[in-house]
Formats: sequence, structure tokens, C-alpha cells
Amino acid sequence: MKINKKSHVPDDSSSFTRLPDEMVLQIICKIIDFKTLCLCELVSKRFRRIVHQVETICFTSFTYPIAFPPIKEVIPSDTLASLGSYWSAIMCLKKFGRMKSLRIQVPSSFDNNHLLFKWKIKFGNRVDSFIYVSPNSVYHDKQLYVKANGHQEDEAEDLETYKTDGIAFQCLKDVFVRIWLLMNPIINLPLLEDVTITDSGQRGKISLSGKKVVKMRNLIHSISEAELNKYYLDLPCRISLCYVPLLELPVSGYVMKGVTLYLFDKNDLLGENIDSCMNIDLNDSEDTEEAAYSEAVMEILKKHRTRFERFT
Amino acid sequence: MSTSSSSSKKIVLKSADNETFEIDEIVALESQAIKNMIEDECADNVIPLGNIDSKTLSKIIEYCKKHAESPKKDDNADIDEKAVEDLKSFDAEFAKVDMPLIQDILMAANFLNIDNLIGLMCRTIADRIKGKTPEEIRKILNINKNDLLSPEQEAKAREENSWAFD
Repeated sequence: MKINKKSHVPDDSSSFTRLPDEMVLQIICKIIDFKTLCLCELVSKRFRRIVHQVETICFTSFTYPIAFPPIKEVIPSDTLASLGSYWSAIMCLKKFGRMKSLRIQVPSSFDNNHLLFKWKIKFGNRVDSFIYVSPNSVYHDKQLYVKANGHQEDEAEDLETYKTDGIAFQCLKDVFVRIWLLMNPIINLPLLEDVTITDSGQRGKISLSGKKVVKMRNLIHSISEAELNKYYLDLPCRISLCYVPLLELPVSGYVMKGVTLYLFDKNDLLGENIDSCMNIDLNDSEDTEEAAYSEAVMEILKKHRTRFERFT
Repeated sequence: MSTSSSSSKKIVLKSADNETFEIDEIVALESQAIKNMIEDECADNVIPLGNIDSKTLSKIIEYCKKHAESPKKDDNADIDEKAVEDLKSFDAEFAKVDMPLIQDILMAANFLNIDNLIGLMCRTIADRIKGKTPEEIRKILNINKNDLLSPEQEAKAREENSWAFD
């Protein structure tokens, strides 16, 4: 790391000038926001020299990537402009060669924000399973549920079955778009250890870290783009559906009503031991709501397995 | 760290403008640099801090006092959340000072090696420049004019990062 230790500089300089480079780096490291970091390049020569040493970046894109340029080819600068601002920004990421941790947030691809669905994936070396959960209503605790529904158990709802509105399939498509988006940073940032793509609606995220990042990087280097496509776009195609009228979650305290769950898997998840197949770490969730949805998935897989219907 | 027997021991710090501050040793121990001096037994008399003025030093002592009083994480695994919240709001209030003082505190915290305080000051500065334009950042930090990019360098950087100006 190139750190210039500056000792005492004449008194007429601002106090910022007197700060040693390692302090300036510590400040810049706490910015995290990618847009500000790019603008820091213009602040001063010193900023420009130090800014690319940061190891953690969060990039919030306000435009959804519209084009999907080839992964391995270098994009000529004149075509870059036509690919939209998402890719212009991604090309700037390359300058941050020491980056270890990257988080990208893209806009949600759904306008129907009143719906409460979220999705989760299990990513081994590719997508092993995809789970879509869509409750009709969510209550943060039992009291709120009782307040909204009265004390009587609503048996009538039992007759209702799962919704087949096609959103689950759109979400699955999003998953594969995001896997594609992961590849560019993984191949261009050799020190990257941890990468996440999420969306503004917090509907679902893909996170890769450690060995999985290394594995993807090696694979991109070693096989052709067509083979990559075939490898990663291999859908988990066994679909099972389940509807649970009322779900009370003991850990988070949440109550969910009218929960539809889609399970897309490669292997027979439902036939296996549940602990080995769906290792959702409840502590891994970023917020209480996400944790509640993870708990809902676990709860359904554990206690409502008989409600599942095989679709394909 | 044994603090029970020595908690009443006093340490005297002297600022650049010759003001002396008598503080409990436990407060002084928040500074790794002073801690090392005490351990090496070279803190018997007054500790002169020739590069820290009294305004900055009194702020730093205020910080160290509060943090020395608060239960440490490694002492007790389940410290009550109230103490954590209390310390958080203290830190937030503490950081509400102007940029020159923040930078002075950061310099001094770096010299005295007070990790938490370095972190707090860096975070505060980072938060103040987040989402700002390069011009605004220069103004906030009072960047020296001699360190600005040449017009050619600036134009090139602007073009490369054009997406960030949208």
C-alpha cells in the first residue's frame, strides 16, 4: 500500500492537509457509497491517489441494467455509452482493484409494491433451489393480528388455495439476471471475496462469498460463454406448491395469513432430511422482516410438508 | 487489566498551550499510547502533549471519561442494551462539532492511539461528505488549492465518472 507519511507541514495549511494518509484512507473507507467514491476522484490529487484503495463498496443503481454485454470481452468505450448508466458505473468499479466486498442494489423489477412476496435461493455451485413466499397479509406480532382479525380463527380461509399469478416465475428470471450481473465484478476484481446483489424492494438477494466466488471466477476463466450460460442457467425445474392459511412464527413473533410458497428444486428437497436441504441461517438475515420470512420458509418445510403439491 | 487497586491514581496531561488536566488513570488508559507509557513507567510526572491544544484535549478527555465509565464489551458478554444505547447517543452528540475541531480531534486521537475515537471521527467525516459533489467536499474539508487536479485531469475524471453526475 502506498502511504506517504507526512510529518509537519507549515501552519498555514488546513488541518485536513495535516492528516496523515492512513487517516484519509480510513475516512474514505467509511464512505462505502460508490457514487460518492467516484466523485472523490475529482476532489483532489490526494483523494484520487488514495480512493481506489478502499475494500468495501455499496453501489446503488437507480437504473435497471437493460443490456447484457459479453462477460469476457472488453467493452469498447464508444459502445459503453449505449449500454446505459448501469454498465458505465460497473466499468468504473474496475479501478477499485483492492475491493474485497461489494454490494449492488438494483431497482425492483416489480411495480406492484402492495404484494408482500419475497424470494430466497440456495446457491451451491449454481442455483440448487428457489423459494418464493407470498403471504396475503403480515402482522409483526400476534396482537396486531388479533386486532385486525378478531379472536375467532378464520376457518373459511382454509378453502383458499395457492395463488398462481406468475410473479414467482418473474422472480426466478430475476435470479438468473443477477447471476449474470455477478460475473462481471467477480472476473474483474481479483481480490473480491464477498458479493451481494439485492433490489430496492428487498424482495430477494444473491450472496456469494469465499470459495463460491473463487469457483465462479475459475469457471468464467476456464469455459466458454455458451457453456457458462448452460451451466448457470440450468433451472431448478421441479416445482412444488403449498398454501398455509395461517402461520404463527415463534421466534420472530410474526403472524402471516394466506401464505403461498413455491419451491423450485433440482433434487427432491421435500424427500430429504430438512436440516440438510434448507440450511437457512436465521441469524444471517439483515433485518427482522427478512428473518421472519426465513422463519416462515423453515416452518412450512418442517410442519406443513403434507400440504405440498407437486406441480411438475 | 487490573484497575481495582489503581483506580484512584491520577495522571496529569499538559496541552500545547500549557494547560494541565488531572484525570483518573482509568480514563487515561483509554489511550493506548498513554497506557504504554504507564506500563513502561514513564508517566510519573506530567505528560506533555505538545501537539494538542487545550480545546481539543478537553474534548478528548470528555470522550475518554464517558467511555471509561461504560461497561466494556469484553468484560461482560451480555451488557445491557441501555448502556450501549446511552454510549451511542453520547457519541452522536459528541460528534456534533465543526469540521476543524473534528479534524483536530482525529489528529490527536491518532497520536494518542484511541481506536474508538479515530473510528467515530472518520465515520463522522465520511457521513458529512457522503452524497456531496466534489466542490462541496472540497469546501467541507477545506482542501488546499495546491492539491486540486489540473483542468485536463479534472475533465478526464469527469468523463470517466460521468454516470455519477446524473
